[in-house]
Amino acid sequence: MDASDEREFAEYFGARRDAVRRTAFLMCGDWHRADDHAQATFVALHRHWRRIRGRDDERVLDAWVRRTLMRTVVDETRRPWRRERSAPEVPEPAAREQDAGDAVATRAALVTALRAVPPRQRAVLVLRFFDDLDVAAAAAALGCSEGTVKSQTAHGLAALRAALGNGIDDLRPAS
Amino acid sequence: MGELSDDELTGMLRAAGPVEAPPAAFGVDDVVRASRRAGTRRRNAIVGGAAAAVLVLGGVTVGIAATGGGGGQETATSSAAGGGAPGFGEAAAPAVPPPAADAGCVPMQDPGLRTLLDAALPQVAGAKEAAVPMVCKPGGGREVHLEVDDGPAHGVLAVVFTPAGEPVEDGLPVGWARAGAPTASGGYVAVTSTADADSGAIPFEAQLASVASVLAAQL
Repeated sequence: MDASDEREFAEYFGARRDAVRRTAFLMCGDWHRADDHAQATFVALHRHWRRIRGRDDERVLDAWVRRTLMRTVVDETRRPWRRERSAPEVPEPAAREQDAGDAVATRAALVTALRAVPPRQRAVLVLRFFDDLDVAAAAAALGCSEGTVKSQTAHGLAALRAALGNGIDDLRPAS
Repeated sequence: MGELSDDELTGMLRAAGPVEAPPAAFGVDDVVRASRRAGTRRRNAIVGGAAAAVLVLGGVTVGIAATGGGGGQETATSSAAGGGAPGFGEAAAPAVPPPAADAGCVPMQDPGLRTLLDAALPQVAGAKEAAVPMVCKPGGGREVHLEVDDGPAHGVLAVVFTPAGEPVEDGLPVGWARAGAPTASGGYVAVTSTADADSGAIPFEAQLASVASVLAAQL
């Protein structure tokens, strides 16, 4: 890459790094691994920068990054020596978190419960409801059909609801 | 109270807001350095692959000579049997030794395994490495992930060698095809192909079993 490419990459990196890290964290539930996944994604992006940047479309670039990140995180869960086990029980929101405010407690409970959702379904939930992508964009990020995204969303919400278990009433907004 | 509806649950997910992140453990300089290291490894792998190909060709020639010019079938048979005159697998194995047990945290792209894959499926010889995370792999675990094109089909082709004694992954997600085989060393090799979203088919789906079989004899 020449100096101009390096500068453009650095600008993109600066603008997107934290968002990519947060998405990775929501996927894997661990900031150290989230940093590994985000870094691996940006390394891959740097290696292919000229080809991808050449399309001159920020949305294409973002979609490529999301897709690479999702592949990276989901692929890791398939490795026999690093495969995740779904948590049989998810701890209810701790009193400390409740004290810190309902929003924080709700977020903490949801993030914890997400870890019990199977990886592909979790990826769909993160992309659609935390990153606010529509079905088509989520399908592009995950490399699957829109129908698969819809079915994985339904299964993922059911798994999340089951994971929240008895703690779900504490999260319900006051009417 | 009743069960949360999907709308209530998705509303809560959307309202949960951004997660507060600790300071990042890496900066743009780390990314650029890692990218350049990966590029260097890739170039070294290509050079190593070319050298291995020369050795493989030499091994085949020796095999033919040792069997009195009996032809390729005998060479292949002796290779599969693991004895007699050196055949394809025996010639290739010393050229691409597995990584040291203490390989450290590296991208899961094994140059030696890549060389074996290139020989087993020459169509992927020039394929780019797919993005994979940097993880600490246990001794003996080996992987290659490639972005591949197979006519109109395109996606990711992955080879995962699981050493003896480690649990083998199972399950077959949508859009994937996989073939696997027990290896000569008692481990297991899985060859998986994933179709991209806009791919009409799964790349190399018909060849996965034969590739797994060839690799199994050499791992």
